[in-house]
Amino acid sequence: MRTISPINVGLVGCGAVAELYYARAFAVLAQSNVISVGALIDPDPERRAVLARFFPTAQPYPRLEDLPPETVTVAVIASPPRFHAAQAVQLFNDRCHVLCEKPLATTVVEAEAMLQAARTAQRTLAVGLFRRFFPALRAIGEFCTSRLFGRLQSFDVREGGPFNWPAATPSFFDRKQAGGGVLLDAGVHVLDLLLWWLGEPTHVAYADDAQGGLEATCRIELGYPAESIRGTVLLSRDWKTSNQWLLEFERATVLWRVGEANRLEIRPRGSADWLVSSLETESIRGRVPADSYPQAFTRQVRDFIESIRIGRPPRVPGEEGLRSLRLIESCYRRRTPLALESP
Amino acid sequence: MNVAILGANGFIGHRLFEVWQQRGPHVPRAVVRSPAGLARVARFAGEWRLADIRDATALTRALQGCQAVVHCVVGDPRDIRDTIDPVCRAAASAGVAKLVYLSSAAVHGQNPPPGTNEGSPLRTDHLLAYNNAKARAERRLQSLARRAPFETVILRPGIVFGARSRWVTDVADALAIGAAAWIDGGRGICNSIYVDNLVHAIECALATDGMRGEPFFVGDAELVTWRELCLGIAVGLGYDETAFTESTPAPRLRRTWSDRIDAVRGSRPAQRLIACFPDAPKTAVKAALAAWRKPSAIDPWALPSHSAPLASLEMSLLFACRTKLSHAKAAEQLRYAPPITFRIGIAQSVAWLRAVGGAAGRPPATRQT
Repeated sequence: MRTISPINVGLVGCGAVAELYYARAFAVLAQSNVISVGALIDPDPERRAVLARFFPTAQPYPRLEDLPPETVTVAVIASPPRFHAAQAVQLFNDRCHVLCEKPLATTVVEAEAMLQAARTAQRTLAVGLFRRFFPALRAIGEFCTSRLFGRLQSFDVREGGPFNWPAATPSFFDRKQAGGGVLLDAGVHVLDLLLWWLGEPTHVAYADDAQGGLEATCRIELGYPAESIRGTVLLSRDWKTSNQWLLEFERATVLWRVGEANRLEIRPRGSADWLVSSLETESIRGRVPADSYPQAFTRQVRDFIESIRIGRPPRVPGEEGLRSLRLIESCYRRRTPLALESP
Repeated sequence: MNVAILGANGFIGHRLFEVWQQRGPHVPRAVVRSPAGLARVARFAGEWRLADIRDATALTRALQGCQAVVHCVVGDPRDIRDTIDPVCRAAASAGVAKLVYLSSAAVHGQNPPPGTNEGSPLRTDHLLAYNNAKARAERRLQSLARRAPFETVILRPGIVFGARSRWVTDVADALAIGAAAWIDGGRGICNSIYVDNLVHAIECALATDGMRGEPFFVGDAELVTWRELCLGIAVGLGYDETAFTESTPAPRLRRTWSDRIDAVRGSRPAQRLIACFPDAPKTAVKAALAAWRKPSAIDPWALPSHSAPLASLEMSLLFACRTKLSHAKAAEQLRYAPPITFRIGIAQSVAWLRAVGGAAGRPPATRQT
């Protein structure tokens, strides 16, 4: 039997997302010999030490410039967004393939530079929009295209709650480092999914609550006149929303609760009863539960590694990250104030 | 005046930060414990510091340059008690001139006896641990305030409502899932205060000199019932009184064994003792307690019930209230005169709910402190 050697991966940025997500996925893939983790890069020695507990043989580097050429084949960028573009360009110059955590960059210009650098170096750029690997969301996409329940008429998306991400630093709330507020954070996932399912909206209206700083709550109205679809998106890191997506099709209402990777709720039009269903996947070993939330994250990393190994495009290439960034910039350009309190 | 707001990410602290950012008169500095606490504050280009207020050294650094401090931090009963000393030490070290502490009318219970005023003795045998912690914190602050190098005012608001308040969102949540209820038709007195009236009270406290730990009740001008509060929100969201069912009060208004165990576990000596034991026996005891508390299984043959929901102990006590706490002392000594009527406060709260998407389809609320 032919043995496949693991692909050597470097992790750029050892903050909360690296510890809570990438380290777990990497550990699973390293155990099955898909990858080996060769480098941990972060200016904070304490953060490097936290990640080194998962990967004791990985070499620690305080700066990306310290990483010797050709040390790793693949790099995952999990640093604050303002560093993404410069780090990606440098990694492409060093002949690495890059999976970049969302948002791809803080601006469209930066993202375009990243894509250009990837093309020049003939390397792959993928973006970490792992919700695309949720079986439930893939199913909704199929409902939209197959019209199983008729045409999609409207959607109402409400996501978020009091901010509780264990951010290691205040960079999330610094405009220079984060680039934006809740729209550029959770909004990237939401807009990416809508773009994936429905394409570009032709009507966009946007309001948020920023008053000299970064928005904590925003509301987006989207329209697709050709299809007569209208929808609203409410995002908040201020107060608890219902954290659910409600999609009205001609013959059914579909409800997805945020975070439930393999579960959907469907109510046929005219019925008072909801069909609450966990998704299962047909495999050669029979039906197995469809991927869970953490499994979807691991699958995203594995998809990227496989794309490098066999030379096919990743399921979510960098261009997809650029699309949601363009829509976000379009929202910010149309910004109107969201009046939450009276003066 | 430069004023540090401790707990500026909470409901009251954030509203204070927001109002002063928008219209002054003070320059607020938000002080929060962790980076995550900056999410609301970062809407503004205002000043902020990270400091755990139980750490007097870190807090002293955060207070440097401020002339006053407003302590709005809540948390669990232990946090409420344990933050008083470090806040006073830091305020003294940083040279702060005034401290405003947000206590609660709950120091006299949710249903205070008629005639209760600021001179009524503080009790620490309430059924709810929160009340006792607030009473102990006040006692401690009053004793420190007498010899502190800064002036201190203690404000005792009742039911503070407004945007982001649990008293608004809980009602909206309950309405959305068809679980809205009141006790005795909501005839009990709600010692309400619209959050902007509390902001006004804080401004009055900062403008008054010579206070050494004096407590003041502060509230809305009107006598408000729970029915008026709940129905005001309901009507604003398109419901009417038929949306409310009559709830059954908690059967026994006294501490259960479970409450007593929690009180003992939460005490400082018990916490010290528990820390000495290894994890395995602690886990076993926790599991045994959890099994003991597990509610009995529902009869699989029973049909879904629409019987009256059982009210919590806190709500049972609140809805039984028959005393309107007077803010005459605050009016006289702090010149407190609530500028916003209850009706407008409700309208603004509902406007916020509507702006952020209302409550349609929201899941049941989780209790906020």
